[in-house]
Amino acid sequence: MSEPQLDELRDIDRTERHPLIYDVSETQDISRGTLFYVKEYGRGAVVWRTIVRESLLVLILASLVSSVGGLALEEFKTVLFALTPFVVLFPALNDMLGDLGIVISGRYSELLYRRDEMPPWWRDSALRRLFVQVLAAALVMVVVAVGGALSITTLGGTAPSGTTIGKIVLVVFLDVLFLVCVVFAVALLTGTIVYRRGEDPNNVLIPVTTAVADVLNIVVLVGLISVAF
Amino acid sequence: MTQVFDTEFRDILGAEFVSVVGGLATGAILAIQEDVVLAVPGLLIIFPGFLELRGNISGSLAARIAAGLYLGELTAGDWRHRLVVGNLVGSFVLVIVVCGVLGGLAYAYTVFIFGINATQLLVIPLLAGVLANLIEIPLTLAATFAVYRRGHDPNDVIGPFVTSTGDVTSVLALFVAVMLV
Repeated sequence: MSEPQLDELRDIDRTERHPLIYDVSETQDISRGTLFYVKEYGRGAVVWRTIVRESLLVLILASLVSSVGGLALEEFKTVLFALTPFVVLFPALNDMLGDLGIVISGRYSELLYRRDEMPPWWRDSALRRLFVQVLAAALVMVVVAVGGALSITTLGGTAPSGTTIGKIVLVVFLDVLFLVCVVFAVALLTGTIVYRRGEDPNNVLIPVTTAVADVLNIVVLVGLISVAF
Repeated sequence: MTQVFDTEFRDILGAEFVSVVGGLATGAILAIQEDVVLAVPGLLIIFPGFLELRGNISGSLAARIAAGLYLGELTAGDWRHRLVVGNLVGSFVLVIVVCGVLGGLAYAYTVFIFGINATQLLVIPLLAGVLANLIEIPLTLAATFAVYRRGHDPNDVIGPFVTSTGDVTSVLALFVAVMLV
């Protein structure tokens, strides 16, 4: 690819769908992902400005959404702190679900960069495999998280009864099962939209999936706790 | 089945384990600091957004660095590369602006919903955000380079690593900021 072509590539308005990326990719046999990265962060680009410009709005929106979850926490803090295992579990579950969102986002972004068009997820073996992997990992981690939280609270001197333990397991299992499905769907939908708009899904998908996981985790958890206890 | 429960699955599981352990540690700190949480009105409003911000900034940073490494734009360990420096500056700008917004939101909620004028909420996230960034961003970069050098995909491993270390760092930074303010 010649220097003038590169310059032209860099000068394309971000809001356009980078027609030159398509042309160069076809004629030079370079993946669109590579060309896209060169355009966003290559020589001549002010890296921090690109990052701030593409991430700021979505991070502010994520904070807005998360603060709604925080508001629910603040409102229910006396209930939550009365059930110590959930205080210990809450960040672990948020982390776990957010991280699964990051794994899904990273893998899906990579798939989008490697392919031109994604088929529907149920017809794509790579996406089906990713879903099963993520769900299986989440369910294994539910056992680890609940076990850990109960051990910590028992060591702290507040051992819950057998019935309470059963309810905690059920609440956490339902919460995680529901949220893995939602986060997967949100990542696929948002990733496709963002990629089609010609932006880097890495900058958008992670904040969106983690915000969804965080808020819904709090809301669903508080809802299930209210029903179960 | 073997195609599903392969090295990638083990990578995810291992990383999730680290993440859950980190989350449990954060939860334990939160439970221990119950008095502080209950004493500062509105602190829990900040809490999820603040923890999430750390994961978002560090997770995206790791993903961008990983993409640069895969595409050959960047060499693992090149801390002075313009991509690395740009990412560092970008992370700090984002933390300062978003923590300011987070503090403003929490303050507004406590005033309008709970009727409490908790001005310290404007400063706590800002101070805690900068403190946490000073530790977490270099740690994320170092971990991304190390994971890549060992032949693993940073996308699978770093996310959980940064959120778990980020959570512990963030919650400690938050309580330090509460004490300072």
